[in-house]
Amino acid sequence: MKIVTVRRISQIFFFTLFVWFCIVTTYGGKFWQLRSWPVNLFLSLDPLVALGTILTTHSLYWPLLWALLTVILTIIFGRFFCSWLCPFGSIHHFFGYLGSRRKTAAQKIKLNRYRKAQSIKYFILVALLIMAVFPSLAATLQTGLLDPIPLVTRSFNLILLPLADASANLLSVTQRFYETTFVIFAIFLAAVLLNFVIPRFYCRFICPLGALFAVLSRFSIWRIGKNTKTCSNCKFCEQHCEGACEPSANIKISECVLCFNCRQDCKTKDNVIRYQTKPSLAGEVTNPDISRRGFVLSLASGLLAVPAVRLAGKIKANWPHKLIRPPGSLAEPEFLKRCIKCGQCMRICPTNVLQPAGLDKGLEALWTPVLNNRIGTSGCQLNCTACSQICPTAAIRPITLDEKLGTGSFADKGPLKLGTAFVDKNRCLPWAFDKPCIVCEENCPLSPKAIFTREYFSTVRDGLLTIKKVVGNTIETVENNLTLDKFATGDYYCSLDGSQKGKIVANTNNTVTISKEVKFAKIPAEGSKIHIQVRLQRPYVDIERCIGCGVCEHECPVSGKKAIRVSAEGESRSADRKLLL
Amino acid sequence: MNYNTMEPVMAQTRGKTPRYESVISLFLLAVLFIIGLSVVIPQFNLETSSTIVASAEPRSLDNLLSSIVPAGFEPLSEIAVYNAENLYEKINGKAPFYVDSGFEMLLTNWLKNQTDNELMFEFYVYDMAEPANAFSVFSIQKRPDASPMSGFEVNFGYRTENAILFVKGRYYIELIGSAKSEPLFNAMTEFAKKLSAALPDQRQFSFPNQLIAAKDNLIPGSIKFYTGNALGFDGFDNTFTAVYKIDSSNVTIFLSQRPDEKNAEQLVRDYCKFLIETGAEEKSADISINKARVLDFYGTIELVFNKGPIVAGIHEAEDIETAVKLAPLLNDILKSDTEK
Amino acid sequence: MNEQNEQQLNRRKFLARAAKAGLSVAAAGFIAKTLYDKQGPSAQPPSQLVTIPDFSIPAVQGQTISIVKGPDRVKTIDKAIDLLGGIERFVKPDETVVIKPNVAFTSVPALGATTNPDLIAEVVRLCFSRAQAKRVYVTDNPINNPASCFTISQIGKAAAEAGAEVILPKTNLFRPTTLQKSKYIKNWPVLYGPLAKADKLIGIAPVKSHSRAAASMSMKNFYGLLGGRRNIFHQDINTIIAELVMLIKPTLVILDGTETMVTNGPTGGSFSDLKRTDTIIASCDPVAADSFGCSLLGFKPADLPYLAKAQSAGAGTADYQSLKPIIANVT
Repeated sequence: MKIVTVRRISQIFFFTLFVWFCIVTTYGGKFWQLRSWPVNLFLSLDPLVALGTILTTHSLYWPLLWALLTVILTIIFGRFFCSWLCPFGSIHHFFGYLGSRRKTAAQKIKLNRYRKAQSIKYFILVALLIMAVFPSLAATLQTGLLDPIPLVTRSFNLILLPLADASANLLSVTQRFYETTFVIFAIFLAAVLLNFVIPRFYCRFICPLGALFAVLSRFSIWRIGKNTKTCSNCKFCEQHCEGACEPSANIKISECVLCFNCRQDCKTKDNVIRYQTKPSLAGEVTNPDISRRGFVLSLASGLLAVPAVRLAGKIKANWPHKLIRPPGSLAEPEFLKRCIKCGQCMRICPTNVLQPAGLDKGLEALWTPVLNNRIGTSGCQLNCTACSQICPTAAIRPITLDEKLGTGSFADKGPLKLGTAFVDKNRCLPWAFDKPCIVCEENCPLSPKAIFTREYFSTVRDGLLTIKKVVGNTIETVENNLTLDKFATGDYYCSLDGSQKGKIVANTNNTVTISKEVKFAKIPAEGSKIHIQVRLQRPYVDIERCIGCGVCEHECPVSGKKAIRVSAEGESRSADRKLLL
Repeated sequence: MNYNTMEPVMAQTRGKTPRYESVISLFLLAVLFIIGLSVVIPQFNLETSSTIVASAEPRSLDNLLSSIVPAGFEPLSEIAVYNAENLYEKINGKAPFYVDSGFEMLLTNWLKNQTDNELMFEFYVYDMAEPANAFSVFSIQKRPDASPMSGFEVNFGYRTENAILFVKGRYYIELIGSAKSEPLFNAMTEFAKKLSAALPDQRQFSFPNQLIAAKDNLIPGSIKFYTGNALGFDGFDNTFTAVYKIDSSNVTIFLSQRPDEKNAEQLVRDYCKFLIETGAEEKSADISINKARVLDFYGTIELVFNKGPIVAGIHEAEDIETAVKLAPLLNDILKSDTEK
Repeated sequence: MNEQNEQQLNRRKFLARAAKAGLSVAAAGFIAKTLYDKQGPSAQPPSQLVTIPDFSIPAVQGQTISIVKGPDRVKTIDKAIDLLGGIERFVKPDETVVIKPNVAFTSVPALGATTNPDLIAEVVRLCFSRAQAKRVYVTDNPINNPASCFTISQIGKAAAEAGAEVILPKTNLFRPTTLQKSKYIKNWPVLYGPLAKADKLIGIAPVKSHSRAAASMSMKNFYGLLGGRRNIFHQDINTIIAELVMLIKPTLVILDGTETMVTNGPTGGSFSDLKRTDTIIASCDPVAADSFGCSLLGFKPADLPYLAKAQSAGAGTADYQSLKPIIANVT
């Protein structure tokens, strides 16, 4: 059995596993749903996630201990992860293969030559890591932008799966929507299509994880190299070289991804190319090829980028009020130190309310989860803590239902608040338009509710009428242009001199019939006035109770700019955004 | 050698794969296989699976309930949660009974068999805040057709033809099956076992020594605990009742631990006053217990006394002779604790 | 021969590399073990809470509070401090003193909304010339723009001319603190920078009426050491004022009732808001100072709920008479 065969099986195996994990990241207990599948396996194995969070938080969150396994294996064996495990790498490998299938051997060899630009990925790594190292408050974790595992997870979770499921509706009863997906998709597509230009484009030039592996594999015990000095230099070994490491000559160990294609392609019987402990007899270079100038430049850019971005004040007083974070999220500076923008929370959220943030929430918050109550089925479901359980880095720390609802041992702390709902009195139907509606109050899931109503009677337009005659409970009016039964919905009342009110049960164009339960204290005289009034229940938010779950905003029938909207004031996670004492 | 062009022809194949390469390849393949198994197999045995997604804190109750759904069953809908204010929406008239006994929360759902839709069971998990309260609602509601549990070890629990009812810690759990069915009942038993093992409150409720001292006479499973209103008298809170078999007749004995002797003496007086006001007649009888009061309540005899801070007595004895006969037994029971 | 050498070289190289690999593995393992976090992050971010030092000095019976009447602030304050033992009792040679005046508004001294600069200058002078203090700082976290407040109130100029250094409330000088058993001061930023350097703390405040709290005197003066969005505490103003004196234990407070702002406080704005009451109170107990000071506004101590709250919390006494105030007159 050839080693490349196993490698291909391994790629297919891990890629399938990855896609399966993306599929099962669906809320529920069935076989193809979350259960206890280790859906964060790839993220946990990713040493860049572990290293990034170690630098920002000075701790290694326990599920990320798997990364130690990857690190140890890489130190010993080399960059096996890139061509045996990485699902993104497998995609690039496949598309690179597709792109160069029709090319001649000479063309392929030329495509796989080492290029100086392959050192760019080291600069990217340095810049990202230095941003994470910043002391205390200014540190930010932006590795998630280009780290391949969060990137490919995000692309599958937010785009590919919803696209695939759009008509079948197997994974989700309703269509899943995600914002800013075009950008995420564009980046994914660009990375994949660039493989037609140069195979494994992303891996060779951009991938910071690959750069990290390159650094780790400096002392690998075994490495690819030539076993004999007698080689015809045909360069056939470089036809399908994935890493562009030039095994035929001075092999660049830091670029070698252990695809073993060189060994497979070598046509001599002698097995010139070997995976061996001694260095290649044609020479080897272990250090990544980065210039000092380049290194300093990337260091400086990373150092300056963070404070420059923070000048916008988005962490301090200029915080975006619509930045509503999932329940259990840490305070914003701490959150940004942990979020790797993997999209797992957005995927698992049963109501589809978690969305990747765009640039409007601040550069650092790009693709981090925020609630958009207009999207999905119902705001943040009351009895759900799925996002907090799935976050691989505890940017959303795992909470129990007790903590979320403020029951049990958390009864003295009260429920976790995501923000507060604010009634927009200029748009709310009973406040501005004399139309009865209490959808928000009805849907508030708390008990007692955080939305309460106060009764208010408002005279309708053209509702001041003159009495002509009263027969029983029916009042005939002088005016005769009422719409038939317009006031018979049960919301309208007839008010006589402001003292007596009777519910209108029927009306014609010139009569108004009041409910039989009302007895006139005094028969109104001819010529006196009546007011047709609509009984409104005007909603008020009790800001001590409101937890900002967004169901009210979601259900509000004013569907464009909602008449009740949640913003993040009062969120529990931020001491400086408190609304009340 | 290509003898036409006189160029060396390179071998088209690289030759047989060396042995060591095959061995390593197969070894790696085996590793992949094991990785695959270790990911997939735990999904079929939820109790032992460890997961990277697992929370660092104990799982909340409804996560637990979702995870122990028996094989071949599925939930009918979402788990419904009720608190003291809306409990009546689920159990209507029974709600005040639970609420007065310290009820905090109810989780309930139907679990339906996937193949046979007629077979399903409903679970009720009542969080009663304290083990004493859970035992109270359990003991007071004991069905007359209760029979002992099998296949499931629990301190307080029984089964009927189609139901399993038990107490664990501060929880009172009822599993009600839709039909009399072996496989359904087995699934319910499995569910009960897992639930009992995994509930976050594993405290045991224990009886006062006095009650179980005369355990030879005690009818097992007859102990009831009232958080309030025992024997129809609202002064009797925190009161136990138990049925003893004495001379082939059943006698109900009650016992209540009061905060101090004065409170106990007052309670005795209050109870007698209450009985007299509702029509009882005080009788004198030669009872060996100091200051015991005997009342004839419409044909049955009530005996009540206090020993130190403990109030105890006999409820609805057949006649005075029985009460007199039992008095020494009572005394012994109570003495057995004070001698410690 | 060459081959053998080459083989040996290779082996040495290999061993070197293997050793380095081994060390890397060990290093990775070590890092993972030391930083391993089983708990995960907690709801509150890790903060470096500070503790505000206690600046009070041992009490001396009968020398806790002095009340001096006189038209000239400078003379009156000299007398008031001397009656309590002189500045030397409070400030020892070579010490660093922080003076906390009321610089809350961009208001001219004549309007009485801020501490009178003459008082600042005099106290700074006393600290340097008589007490031989090494350094004196003057600081506050004003409500309006800090630089403008120090300028328009002329406190900045007075302090600098007397030799003190003004410390503006820069962001990096604030640190969070938690007051035990308090309702509101939990992980709340305070102007800790100057306090960290100080040996003694002297508060100097004018007597003013206050629309929300009834009066703003020496206790409320310490509101100016709070940072963050502190106006949220106005929803429970009496509790927060009481908690201020639990948090800050000054060496001495000076309450300037020479021209008391009796109406339209705390900003005032018109000379008619001021009433000439010609009194200055010096006190080691801010609660006692305020209990007397409120009389200048026409209040009784019972009219100010925060006095009782502070007293029951043990931060001072509202019964200033019990401290045997020394009363004097100065012409």
